[in-house]
Amino acid sequence: MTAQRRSSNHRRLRGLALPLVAALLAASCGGGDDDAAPDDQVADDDSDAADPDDQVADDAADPDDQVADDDSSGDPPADDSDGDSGTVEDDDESDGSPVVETIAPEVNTDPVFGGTLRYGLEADSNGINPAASSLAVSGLMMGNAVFDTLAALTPGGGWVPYLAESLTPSDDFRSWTVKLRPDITFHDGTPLNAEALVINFESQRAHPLVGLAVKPFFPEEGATTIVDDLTVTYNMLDPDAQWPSASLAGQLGMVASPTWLEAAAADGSLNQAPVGTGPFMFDSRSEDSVTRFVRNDTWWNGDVFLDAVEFFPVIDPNALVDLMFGGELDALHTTNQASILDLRDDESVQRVESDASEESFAMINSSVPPFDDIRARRALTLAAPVDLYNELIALGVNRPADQMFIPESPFYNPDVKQEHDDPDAAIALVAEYCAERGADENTVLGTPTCTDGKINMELQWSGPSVIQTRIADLLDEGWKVAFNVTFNELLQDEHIAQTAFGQFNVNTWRQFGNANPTGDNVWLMCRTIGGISLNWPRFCDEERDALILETMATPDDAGRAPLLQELVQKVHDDYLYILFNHTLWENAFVENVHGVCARTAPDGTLLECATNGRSWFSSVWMD
Amino acid sequence: MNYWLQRFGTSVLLLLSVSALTFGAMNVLGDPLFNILGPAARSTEVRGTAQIEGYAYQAGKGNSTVGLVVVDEADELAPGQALLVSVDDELPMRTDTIAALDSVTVEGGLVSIADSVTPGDSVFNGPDPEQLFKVAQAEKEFYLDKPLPERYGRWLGDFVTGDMGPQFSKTGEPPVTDLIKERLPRSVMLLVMAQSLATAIAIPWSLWSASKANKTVDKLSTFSTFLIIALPNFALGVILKYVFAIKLSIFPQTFNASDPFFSRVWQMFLPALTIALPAAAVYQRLLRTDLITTLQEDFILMARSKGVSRRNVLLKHALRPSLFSFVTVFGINTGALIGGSLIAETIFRVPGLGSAVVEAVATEDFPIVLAIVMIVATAFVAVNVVVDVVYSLIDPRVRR
Amino acid sequence: MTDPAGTPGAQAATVGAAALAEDAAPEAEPITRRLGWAFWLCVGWLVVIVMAAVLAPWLPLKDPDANLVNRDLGRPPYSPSSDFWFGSDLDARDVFSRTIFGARVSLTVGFVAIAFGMLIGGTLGILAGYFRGWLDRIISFAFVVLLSFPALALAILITSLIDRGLLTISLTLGFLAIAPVGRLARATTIQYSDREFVVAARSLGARHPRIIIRELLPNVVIPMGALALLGMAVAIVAEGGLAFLGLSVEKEETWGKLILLGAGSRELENSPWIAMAPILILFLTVLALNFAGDKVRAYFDVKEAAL
Repeated sequence: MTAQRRSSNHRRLRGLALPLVAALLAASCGGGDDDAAPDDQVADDDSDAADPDDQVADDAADPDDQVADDDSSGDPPADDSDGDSGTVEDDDESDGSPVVETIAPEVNTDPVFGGTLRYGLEADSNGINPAASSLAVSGLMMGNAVFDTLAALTPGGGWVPYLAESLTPSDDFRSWTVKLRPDITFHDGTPLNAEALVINFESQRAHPLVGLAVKPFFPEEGATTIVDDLTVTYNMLDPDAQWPSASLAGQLGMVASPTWLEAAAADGSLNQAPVGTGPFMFDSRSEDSVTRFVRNDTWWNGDVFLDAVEFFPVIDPNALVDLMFGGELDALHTTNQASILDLRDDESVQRVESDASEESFAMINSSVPPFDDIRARRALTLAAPVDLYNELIALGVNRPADQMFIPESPFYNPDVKQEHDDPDAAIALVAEYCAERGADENTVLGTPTCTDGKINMELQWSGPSVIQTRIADLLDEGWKVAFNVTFNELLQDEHIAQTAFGQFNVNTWRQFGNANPTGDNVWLMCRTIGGISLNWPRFCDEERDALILETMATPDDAGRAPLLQELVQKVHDDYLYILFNHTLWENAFVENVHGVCARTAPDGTLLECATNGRSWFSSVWMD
Repeated sequence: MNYWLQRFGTSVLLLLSVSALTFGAMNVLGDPLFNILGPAARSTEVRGTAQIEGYAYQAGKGNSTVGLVVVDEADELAPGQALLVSVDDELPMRTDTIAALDSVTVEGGLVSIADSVTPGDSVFNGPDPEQLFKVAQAEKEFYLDKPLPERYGRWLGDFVTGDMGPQFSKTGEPPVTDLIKERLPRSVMLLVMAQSLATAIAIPWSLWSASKANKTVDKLSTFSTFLIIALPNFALGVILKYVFAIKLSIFPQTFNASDPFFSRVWQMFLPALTIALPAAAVYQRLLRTDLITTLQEDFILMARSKGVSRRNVLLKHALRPSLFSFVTVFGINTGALIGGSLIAETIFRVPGLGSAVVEAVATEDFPIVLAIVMIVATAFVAVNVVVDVVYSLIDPRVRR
Repeated sequence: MTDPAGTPGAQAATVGAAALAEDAAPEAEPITRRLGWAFWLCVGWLVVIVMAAVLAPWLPLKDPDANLVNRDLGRPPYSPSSDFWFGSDLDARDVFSRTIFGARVSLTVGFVAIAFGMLIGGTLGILAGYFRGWLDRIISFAFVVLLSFPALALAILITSLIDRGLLTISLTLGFLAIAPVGRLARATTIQYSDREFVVAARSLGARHPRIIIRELLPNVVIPMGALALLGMAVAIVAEGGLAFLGLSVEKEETWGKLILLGAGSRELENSPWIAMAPILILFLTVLALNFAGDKVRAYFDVKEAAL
């Protein structure tokens, strides 16, 4: 048989695609009503770059304490979170924490058994298989119900072993030994053991999409070594001193039943019926409608109080909040700013609010003209109307972002400022570029890179989405001084595929926010560039890689801080991301929901309440 | 009888044409493989990624492995060149990294050299043979390598036996018939409610107008039909939603499929009204016109002179012969509404066939689109036939 | 007279319903051979809106794309005022200006669509009606096939398969107009073909093209002219529907897109003018087209044969 070559029609992709590239970010795309596009969560998304010393969640901080003025000088956050401050603009310092909670961590003294929690998601997920579905926030929320992760995050930004009994690194941090707790079985009776772990790992690695986040960091052979029935050693290519918080507290740390994994690999429809070790078991699922999980009576980490949890994807953020106010939902998560304002106004709503998570930005593809030239990228950045974006789209709810860290983070680099709103400088740079390289070809558009002294470019997003349309119009208004912007609203599958294949100029995106910043390495390193690239801008900088690797090898935050600050400077200087703001996630619960922040590890350590928009229900009860 | 036979033949031909055109459009203008596999469909070209060191990739599904089968005739293969290898004589698979030929086991098949790659690129992003396997499999399963007419024929064969194909865009690829079964009842419910409302509004209104023909109130009434018809349906929907669901909060804003029956009826009232109001206006005008014409007939005069009351004249004598135009358009509307009302369903979030079409087009899930187009076309044809039958029943002068 | 513009359910297939609806009996009320003041009012409005659309770039309107944030007024959207006649939208853009500029695309689509439909449909219809026989059967069958499609679904499908450019959308809608226009043209042609002057022309030895162009066309054009106005209304509404579903042109504003941007429940509740202003202008324009078309039709008193 001969090679079958398929020629592409109209600007379609050339290259390799993987089926769940579509799923990558598909779920998080929601209705696109948030201020950003796909949000990639292939690797991990545990956020919480809070200072470990931060006193979080000790009281109901005034919700208006969000700093808009980003001149805060990285002072250590104030310890008294009485945060009753004035208006947003006046505050120079946050209340001491990037996380606002109106829920006090409770010890569950008199929990009531029973009740069904109805949770509103911003979108549905294509499937709930950590080894086969790319889980964005919605998928991770459902995953949280049915799977446990090997490690779990603590409010301070640290980690503790969770499903694992212990997680021990080798001296050089190239190997991590995971020892499981004994006598745990999956919901289908399969025992949790070393072999199960290895099967999970290999399934993830073998998957064309999920594997992209795994393969670059492990050797082909000998990535895992079974030590005994409950112990596996993972051998990595590079030392990673904080691997558990980077990888094992999120999707890649979710452990699924190997029996189920194998069955799902053969029959894709089983991706909808997950089997894990978690506090809830899968009950039923009607895609885009409702997914239901029921209590696991034999959960290994204590009592589960709720009878059931039901997830309802609601694309329209207005409808989502209205449903909760109307009593049809008990909880929800959202990044929609108008909704957040409404939720803040309602005293009866309990909230966990945090912007220590992702950033939303416009992302530039550096692998094709015109943006393979740094001048073009810089010009685009300078011309970007970030202020208007934050005012009109983000409604002042989100803090503008200069870098991937919030000011409270120990890794924050106060010298790095996002450039924007400087059209004159942009025009000058574009003139320079066009004079020299205006005759190159913009392969995405099929036109020369410059026309009439302005750069031709394509802005791409997934739709149809009202808010994305508004964003595109807004950006165009700012950019048009120096750029001829062509709009390309694509269907989600197509948009994601084109991004993954590097067939775009600029798009709007949402990313970063792993509690452990090196967990975001997959988006930044050379080794993830390829036919399909998780390094979306396709920018390879060996020095940047070296920095990341060095950070990974450094165990303590104090040592990592200067490296990460240098990394932030590098990312800024490469002009690949035009940051708009820090995404603010709101997790809201009605009055009669309790125990949201009472989650503990078996040894009693208090665990993170909500991170990057997702929370857990193992400790929740309703009355 | 001959007439009906001819009619039947025309109808069948009509449906075939509709389906052929749609099928053709989707396959020629669109990319059917993409519809089946999504972005995986692109994985047919080898992109440059390979490793220098010898590495033989074993393709497999899940955890089972399929041995690489290399072939007899092979050109000189440079390090880093990718190979096309067949696995079981029928389905080509590709490996992403082959360093040297002798690191691959030979068992039989055909090799051809694909694009060369740049040595030193990362191995991790090579084309995945498994995906290529899926592509080849999909092509086989859906006959994509066959010419268009044959594909159409196969689709048609399946379709008439009730197999409408899979929903490519949904995970697990449930059959389209599931979607139809789920959504058709809602569209039908909407249709029934809308037509009932429209008729309930139109008939009394037209009777009243006809009896007051050409007086000022009638002129106002005619003018108001203009107003109603001139307002686009989506604008009307938005206004109704604003006034009744938001401002006055009488009706809920959205539809919830899992609610009990009467709740759902209530939730469907506004979308039904969105459809019904313009329809009522159209019906009213038709009925009024026909009523006025009928009222000028002799037999009406006779009935009146016999002392039949105005009311009875209208209801019992005039109405029935005036129904023709109304019945025609009523029928057309019914046929069209079976396919759901795209706009009303979108505004009020009713998951019916109309919104299914919008979603399916958005995801290029063409079996769904085809199925719904066929349903509407069939309904259209069927309704035309029914209308003819009703005509011949109503009016003894019109008989075949 | 039945008006196709608002026939629901079929959405843009109202044009399809139009053809059949128009086969209904005409008004039995006395025909006034005056167009009336209302007609001229409608024409006036149409002239105004078309001129405004054509001259928009030169009129003293605010930039429709500019974000005219005025911090003294708080956060947008701003309610209607002397500064923003129709208020502003969520991004502080002037709704009045956007509505005028939106007319450019909406009216263009309406015009091109119906022109295309009339050109192709009219030609086919006249040929079918004049020559009858197998040509008529084929063409009529083609019309029926086209009419059987759920029109809006088809429009969405085609634009998603090809592209969402102005021309594509216009031609797609025009394509959907072919059948209803064609049927009317055919019906009218059939009617006139039997009239004396045509018979006379033929017996005098006139050749087909001459008969068609000199005798039939002038008579067919008039009811088609009325249909043109009605059809344009339908096309504008159809484009509005497409835009409302988010599937019309990508960059420029159109009335449907403006309405969509204002139709969220939050926006309707707090700032209804964002949607209501374009709805009003669209409504008035469609009303004017419908009314004028209706009056033209009544004036020329054409009886369409039932098919």
